[in-house]
Amino acid sequence: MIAKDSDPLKHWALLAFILFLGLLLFPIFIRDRYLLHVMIIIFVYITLVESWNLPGGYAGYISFGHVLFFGIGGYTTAMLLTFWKVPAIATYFLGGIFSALVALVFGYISLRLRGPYFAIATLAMATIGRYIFLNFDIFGGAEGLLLPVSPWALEFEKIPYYYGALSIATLTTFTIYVIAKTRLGIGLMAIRENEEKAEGLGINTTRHKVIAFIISAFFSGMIGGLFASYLEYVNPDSCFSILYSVNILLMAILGGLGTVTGPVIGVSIIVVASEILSFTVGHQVRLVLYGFILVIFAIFLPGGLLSIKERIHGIKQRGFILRESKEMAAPHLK
Amino acid sequence: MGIFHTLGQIVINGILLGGVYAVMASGLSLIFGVVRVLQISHTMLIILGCYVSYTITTKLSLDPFLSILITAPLLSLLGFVLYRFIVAPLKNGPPVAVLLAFFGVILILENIVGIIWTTNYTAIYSVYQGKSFTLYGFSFSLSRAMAFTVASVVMSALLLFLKKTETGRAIRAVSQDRDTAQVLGVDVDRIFIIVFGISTALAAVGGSLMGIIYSFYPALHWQWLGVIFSVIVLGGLGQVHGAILAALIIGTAESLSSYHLGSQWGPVVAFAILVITLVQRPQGLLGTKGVRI
Repeated sequence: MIAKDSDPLKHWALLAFILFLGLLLFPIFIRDRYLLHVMIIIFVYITLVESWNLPGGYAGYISFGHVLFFGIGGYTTAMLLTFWKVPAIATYFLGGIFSALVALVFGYISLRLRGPYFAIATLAMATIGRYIFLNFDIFGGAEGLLLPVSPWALEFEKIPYYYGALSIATLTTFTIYVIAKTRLGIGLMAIRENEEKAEGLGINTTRHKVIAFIISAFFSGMIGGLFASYLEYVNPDSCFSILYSVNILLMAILGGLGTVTGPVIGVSIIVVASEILSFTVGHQVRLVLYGFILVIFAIFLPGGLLSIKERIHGIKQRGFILRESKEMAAPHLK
Repeated sequence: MGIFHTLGQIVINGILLGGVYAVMASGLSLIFGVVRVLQISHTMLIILGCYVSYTITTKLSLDPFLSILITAPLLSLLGFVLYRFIVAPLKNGPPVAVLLAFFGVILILENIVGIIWTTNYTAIYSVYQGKSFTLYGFSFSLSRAMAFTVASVVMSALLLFLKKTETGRAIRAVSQDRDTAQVLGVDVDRIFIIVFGISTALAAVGGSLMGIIYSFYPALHWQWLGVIFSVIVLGGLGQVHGAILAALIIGTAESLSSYHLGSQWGPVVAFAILVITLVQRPQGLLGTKGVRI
């Protein structure tokens, strides 16, 4: 599965490098604020979906509450910037570390659950998180907090955030790409295919899953912090909106679960489509369409767009998370 | 008027609420027990029930409790559609695909409801609103007491149906051992369709009752999903009896936490119960040991 693409790998690496170079130069040529904003949103979602994909796509632990880590990062940055005047870049790292700590505790509790149970437990976790930030006054309640405007943003507007988001997105994608090739990544895929057998082969499944969860939370927390300082405010709705989790799921399944390129494709399509559809048909019709996309993909193309080629060639779908996971339905039935 | 009286009053409110939770949760529990899929759009169907009941009540100026008689059959048609187009094609497929597909159904329904009825808070107006009566020194809200009565009738009917009728016995057989039931001549497909119809009808009843007690808006179902899921997990997945007991417990816990911590903590308490149950006793209160999730 991994050795197979040794030849096309070179093409992909070249393509990725050209893409990265283009993105580096993008703000020099294009100063349009709206386009820069869309690009920042794309980078934010690439980070979220790539990091969601590590436990979600590779290990098969679908989370409905990934937004929690994004929100914790956002609030960490907001608190540190507002009350302690910590440098912005340091707050992103601290936000990531704090998210990772929460992931350690929560992952240890919840990762023993499987399939739908894990999904609902993560939804519960995100809801509890949202209510904690909503109900305690130090977090500003429903109003949230206003962040101090950074002097950089005054001078260069969106450009510092563009490069910040690009760096985090690249770092995340690269890390996930490397992890997928290591023992950890292969262990995670083994868990996805058959957890009992993986355990029988001597893989410490709990440790693998918790580590994946922590790495995933770290990057989401970092980007949450950056996005909070970009928006210059945080509140429970901006940080913990269920829409983030909805979008993450949609983008991941559209591109292809358990792949590195899938999320990039899924994010680009959905962000651009969201911008166009919001102007033309409106927010709600757009979400109805997304609902249909999810249903259709779940039924007919669970491997995502990336699996189309393999489908046509009749090859067994690669990275196809949904194939072997039948036991997850009701393991107690056996 | 001592502390016990206050406590008693809170518990009564909680149990009245719990009765409605039982109706909301039993449909989900039934589907899980028989078809073995987690129908996460169940609470969205409940919200749809709220709105359909609201429209029937206002347009036909019917009593909101009578509107259930129209809402329930209407929504059970949707249950057939969901079964036919989502569960049936994925029956032999992976459960995660069903989960994602129902996630899509949530998006579709939530936003269609938002387009038709707006996303603002809505409430079903009834003549019972704001009225209450006193019994043994405790005060009962009239709408809540009536909702509880209807819920009790519906739940008793469901339990009787499952216990006494031929179809009910077949449903229980499929839930216990699908393959053996099939060998013994039970048409499993037919049972699944019936169960989906019943479950959606129960969602409609639960939604109508909830809409009479509380105001609602389309995205509220996420919060209810937590509450209802806590109920069915605490009761033991797939067990209707357990769900009823758990609904009363969670209703009371929510009522207590609303009184002592403030109503904004209600959902957190339900979720906390959910997480503790999943970790400590995944088979639920009445579940048998050895069941693994």
